[in-house]
Amino acid sequence: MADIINKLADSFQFDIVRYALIVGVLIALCSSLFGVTLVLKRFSFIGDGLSHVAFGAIAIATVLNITDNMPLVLFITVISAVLLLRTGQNAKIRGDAAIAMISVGSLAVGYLLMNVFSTSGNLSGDVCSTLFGSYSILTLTESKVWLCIALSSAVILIYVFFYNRIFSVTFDENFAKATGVRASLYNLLIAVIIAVIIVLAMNLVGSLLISALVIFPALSAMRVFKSFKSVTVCSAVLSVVCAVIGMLVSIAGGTPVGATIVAVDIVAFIIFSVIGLCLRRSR
Amino acid sequence: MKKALSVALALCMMFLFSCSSGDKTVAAPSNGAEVEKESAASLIDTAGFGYDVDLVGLSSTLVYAQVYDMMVYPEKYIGKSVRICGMFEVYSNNLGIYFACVVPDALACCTQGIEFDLEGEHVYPEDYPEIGELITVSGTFNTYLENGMTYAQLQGAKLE
Repeated sequence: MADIINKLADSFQFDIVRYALIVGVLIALCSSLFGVTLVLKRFSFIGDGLSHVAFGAIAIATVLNITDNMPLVLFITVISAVLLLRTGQNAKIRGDAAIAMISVGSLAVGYLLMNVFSTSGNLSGDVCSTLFGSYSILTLTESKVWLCIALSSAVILIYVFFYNRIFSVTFDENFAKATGVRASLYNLLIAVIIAVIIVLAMNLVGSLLISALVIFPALSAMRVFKSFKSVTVCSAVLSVVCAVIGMLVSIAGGTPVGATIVAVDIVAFIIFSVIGLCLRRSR
Repeated sequence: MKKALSVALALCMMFLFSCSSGDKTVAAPSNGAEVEKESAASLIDTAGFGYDVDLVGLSSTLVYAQVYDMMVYPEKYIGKSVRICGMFEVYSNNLGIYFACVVPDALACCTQGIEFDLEGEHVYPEDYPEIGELITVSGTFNTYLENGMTYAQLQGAKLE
């Protein structure tokens, strides 16, 4: 126990650990806020689809030898989010089919591009790290940290300012439209913000595990709480706590960061499910 | 009901925190786990001996990430004393033979390492460990140019 505490204390002397914790907390907070909306709107898989698009974008950036790939990845993912939303409104290709199509298409094209054009000496390592986020969060530069802080702050501010509109669009879009809320505009806003969160979260958990970061805290909170506000607050707190615990376990235990955070999220979900069950029985 | 809920949530958070602090049995890849075990043992004996960057006693994930940072941004570390624990590796080309201390990442799909140049005159393989053997090496971080490429190296290195 003392060894672990010493090890963690020693770890904090490194900039990379402090950066990782700051960015990890912010990403966990953002993803959980919009996770509640996504789960309630039955868009849980849009995160998965967009994360695969982001993987494809990273592959393009790698092939083009772009060192700072975030602007390009962000641009492509936002465009895809908007297209997905538009395609989702088209009856010819249903929303879930469009997501599946873009998801697997991007993953395949991304891997193909990296295989054919990549100059890296360790292709499997690059792909593995991008998909599972083994150590990406621990390799952030100061400029990337500031970019993450700026984007996360923007996401949180938008959520706070438009809370009521997001609430009404989440629960009853038709009612929201009837009361004068421009539902399609807010749906677009949600899609763009989700794209931003996905790109940020790829650093934390990798592209295959992003959905877990978005949906697990929301689902856990829904086991115990019932109102939108309490679920959102609980989801945010839980997501941040799980992310911090996951990162600390990973740093102390030498486990992959992304998978460890998701494992902690799963444990939290089980605990909250048990609490929810107990509460329902006691009523 | 609200009180019971609060107590339950507090217990839940306590459980989550206790999971993290007491979790020494988390599975790590075999190579990483060995390096880490060795590192933890060294921590008790030799930590705090005034190295600028002491990577001994840290987990393989963190060592890997830190070495990655040193390789990508070497200018931040030039002239600093560095100590690292990892596996001994040897690389050679037509220009010579190179010795390195390498660390695998948590997924065991990548390795990062630092080349080192031992202080004094040494002959390979007599004066060096076996390939793959766990070593702790310390030295001064520096870079050098070879064939137009910049390489990082621990100079005046010592094996512990």
